[in-house]
Amino acid sequence: MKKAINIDTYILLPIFLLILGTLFIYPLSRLFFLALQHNGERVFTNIGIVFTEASNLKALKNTIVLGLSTSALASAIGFLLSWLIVRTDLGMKRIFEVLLVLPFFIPPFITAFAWIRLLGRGGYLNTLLCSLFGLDNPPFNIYGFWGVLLVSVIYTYPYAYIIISRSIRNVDASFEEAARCSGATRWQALRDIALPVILPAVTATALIIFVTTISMFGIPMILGTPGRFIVLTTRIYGYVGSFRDPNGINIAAAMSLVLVTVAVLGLIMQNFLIRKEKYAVVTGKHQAAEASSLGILRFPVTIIVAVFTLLVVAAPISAIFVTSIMKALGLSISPENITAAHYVRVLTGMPIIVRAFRNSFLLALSAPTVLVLIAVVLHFAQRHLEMPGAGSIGTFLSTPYAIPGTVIAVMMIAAFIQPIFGVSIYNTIWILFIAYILRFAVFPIRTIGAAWKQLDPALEEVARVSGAKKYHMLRDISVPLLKGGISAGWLLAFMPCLTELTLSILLYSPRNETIGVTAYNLIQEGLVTVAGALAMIIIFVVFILQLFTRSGSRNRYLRGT
Amino acid sequence: MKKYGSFVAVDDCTLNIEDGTFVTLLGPSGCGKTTVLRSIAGFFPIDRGEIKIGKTIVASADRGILLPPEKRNVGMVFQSYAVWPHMNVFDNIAYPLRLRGVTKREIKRQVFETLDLLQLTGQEYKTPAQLSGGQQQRVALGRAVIMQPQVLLLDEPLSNLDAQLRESMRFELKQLQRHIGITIVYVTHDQEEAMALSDKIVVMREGKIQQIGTPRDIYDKPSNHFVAKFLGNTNFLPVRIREHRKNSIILSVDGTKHTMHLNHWKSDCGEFQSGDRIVIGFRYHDVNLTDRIETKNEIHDALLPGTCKVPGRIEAATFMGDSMLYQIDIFGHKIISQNSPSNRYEAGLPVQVTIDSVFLFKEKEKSLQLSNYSTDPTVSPPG
Repeated sequence: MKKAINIDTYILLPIFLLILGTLFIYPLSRLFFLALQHNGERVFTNIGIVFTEASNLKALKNTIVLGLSTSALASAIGFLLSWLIVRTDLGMKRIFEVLLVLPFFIPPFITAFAWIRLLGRGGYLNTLLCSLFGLDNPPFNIYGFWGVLLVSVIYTYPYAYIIISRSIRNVDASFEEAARCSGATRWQALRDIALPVILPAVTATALIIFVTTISMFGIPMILGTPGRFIVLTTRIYGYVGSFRDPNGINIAAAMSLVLVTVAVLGLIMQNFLIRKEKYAVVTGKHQAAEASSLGILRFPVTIIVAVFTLLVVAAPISAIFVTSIMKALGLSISPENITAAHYVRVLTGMPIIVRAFRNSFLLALSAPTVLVLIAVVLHFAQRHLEMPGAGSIGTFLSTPYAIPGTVIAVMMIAAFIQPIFGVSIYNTIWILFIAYILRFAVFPIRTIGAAWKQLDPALEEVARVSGAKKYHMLRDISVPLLKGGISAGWLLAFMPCLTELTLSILLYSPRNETIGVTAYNLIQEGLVTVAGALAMIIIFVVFILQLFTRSGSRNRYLRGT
Repeated sequence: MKKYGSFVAVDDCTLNIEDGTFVTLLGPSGCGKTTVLRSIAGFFPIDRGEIKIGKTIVASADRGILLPPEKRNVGMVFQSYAVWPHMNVFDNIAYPLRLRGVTKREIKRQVFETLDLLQLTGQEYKTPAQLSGGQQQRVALGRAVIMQPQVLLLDEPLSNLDAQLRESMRFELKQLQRHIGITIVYVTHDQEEAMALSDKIVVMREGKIQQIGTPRDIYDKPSNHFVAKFLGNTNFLPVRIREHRKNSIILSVDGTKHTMHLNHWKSDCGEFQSGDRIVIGFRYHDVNLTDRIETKNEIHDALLPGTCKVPGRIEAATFMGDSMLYQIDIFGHKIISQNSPSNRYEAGLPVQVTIDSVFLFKEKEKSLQLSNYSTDPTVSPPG
């Protein structure tokens, strides 16, 4: 028996180390290596350039300002909405609960596009306001800091809402009731007891939103760059693509290191906060606190939330839809100007889009599958083969999610721009495949790990006692019982793989475009109506997937997201 | 003094609780005991009747009065303790005083006094996460008593503790109550707890009060089938009254030709008539065994006057350490006897079963009518 375990570990451990090495360690070291190279010498010049050149400093400043302001606003909105929906008698709660989280599921660059169609030069909202108030020039300009801030907040507030509302719901009613018995009014109980208890969740959320914001590429690229608002991700993009500067990639690498440091600092702080205050609810019957009445404010507040929902959820999607069915830009919205031609063109008449769909689906179907395999074997090795270091390997493979996508892309370029053993994956689809594997490994690893932890060990032990060898047990018992975690992990990785932009924009090559890249290019090229049609199709696909994963499945591992 | 009136869907009850007494609401889950408690606290509005604490009406359906919890001066300890995790022990206990604007110095004095009362001295700057369950329990108590409430409410506070701790906390609770002389309303489903702690027990079921009395009263004279079953280990037999005389009752056991002869019993709810179908109940420990030699005159024995004696046969014997548990067959029905382990009988032996102390209950379990009880619902045996 003992011999069998050792043999397996001796095979598996090197395999995993090889995977970890090629996917993560090697690219990371290449990143460092490139960052320290300038004109062929090992120097710190690149770092110097990052911190001294004016436009770079501006990018750094912009990034931090954007991160902080988005985080503050999104958290505030998320908190307000959470409290209104969970703890008051706000009207139309059911509808709001469903609608208000939607912006999170639309790929951010598409939301950016939607807001161009609303508040850009010829945007619908701008035009409406012009005619309403008789203005000559459109009042709003979507390009620049404010546009980026607006769309970033719209993209991230649902996340704050989900986390904070869950935290509020978890506050045991008895905490505040005990305060009431001690003599506190409802408000005092809220202020002294409830709010401090949910504070850690709010702060943690704010930090995560900060890290997410500074890692974003699509929104700052589409809305910021035209308005001369540059952030680190877009600057890195510029350096990577610059042909004039032979040290471009090196400076990009150095900047990536700076960006990842800021991100990691943010996450460390968040971890520290979470650990410091463990406000787990004590066991016992958990009752939700009763809803307080808004009284006379109920109607106006409900209206305000409804208007907010319309603006933030309905307006963007409508704008894209309208754009996609207009014969041409600038035409008034009337029946004779409506057409479905763009959809037809997108679905059939543009080989590049067809190819992009094929590529994206190929990647989105294969990467998660490989990841699930890796995750199952890894956790199996940890739990049943006593493979040393399995836990650490899992943790290592999960960390790239915290690294900004742009940085991962630069890592990939740094690692694979030169052929390894005569094989170059740089201009192939494989580099994207590897990037996806690295970036989204966290989902299957986490969900399958959690699912396995919840599994009663007795179920597997009984199999062994009945005579099953370890692998039979895995095949016949463990995997079927882990179906929930497996499918959750797969789906969580599938969705971003399908629609993501940040990685593919830097790693794609001719004939290897993804859906995200194609849509982005259409937007940037100004083929607005066609872009609209493609965007609408993407939104449709995403919504169908969301419906399928949420309502249909009783998978608790998906409910948390 | 506290008066308490009938109220909505769940319940229909009237209770008078005297100052300084320890009253327990006892019953299975869903019987309404927590609802009653929360109505007293002010978290639950009442639809009918009123609640009075002392001279103050805190809730009245007719007059539309509903005092919020913070105005009732009622202390409450929750099942989960609800000790605030972001405050240390001192701040937790001091909170009621802080709300009342007591000076810092006075707060300090009172908090330390309370800490001493609850044997928490030295823990004042710890956070709840650093405390054991029992300690958290005491913090919750301290927080509730420091404001010197008129009534202290406790909602199954010991159910999250392990068995040993539960017993010691029980003792401490009782001591505390005696020491500060506070009125306590306690909710639990654990009958042992109720009996150990209470001056009076209120047995509840499905929203209605079944019986009110001291632990002894309720145990010795359960007013109905449910109370007898809920408190203490009881055997039940369905029987029919064959003859009902002044000093004796002859019962025929359902489904058999056998009869039982009683000349001593306890019952409530009026007299029974011949021909009535009733249920008799008797405790495990009231079933005593002596040897019996099987004869052909078994049925004859059963008819002899005297305390209830019936022939039986032992089905199973289990040694429980402090007692001997027998499963006995009488007339085809199974009953259980639990007594001192000194007598050892083996399975299969015929025995003479003597039953002391039989309760008579109406066949259908009925809750007591309002008119039927006051603070002393016990009844004396007829004759």
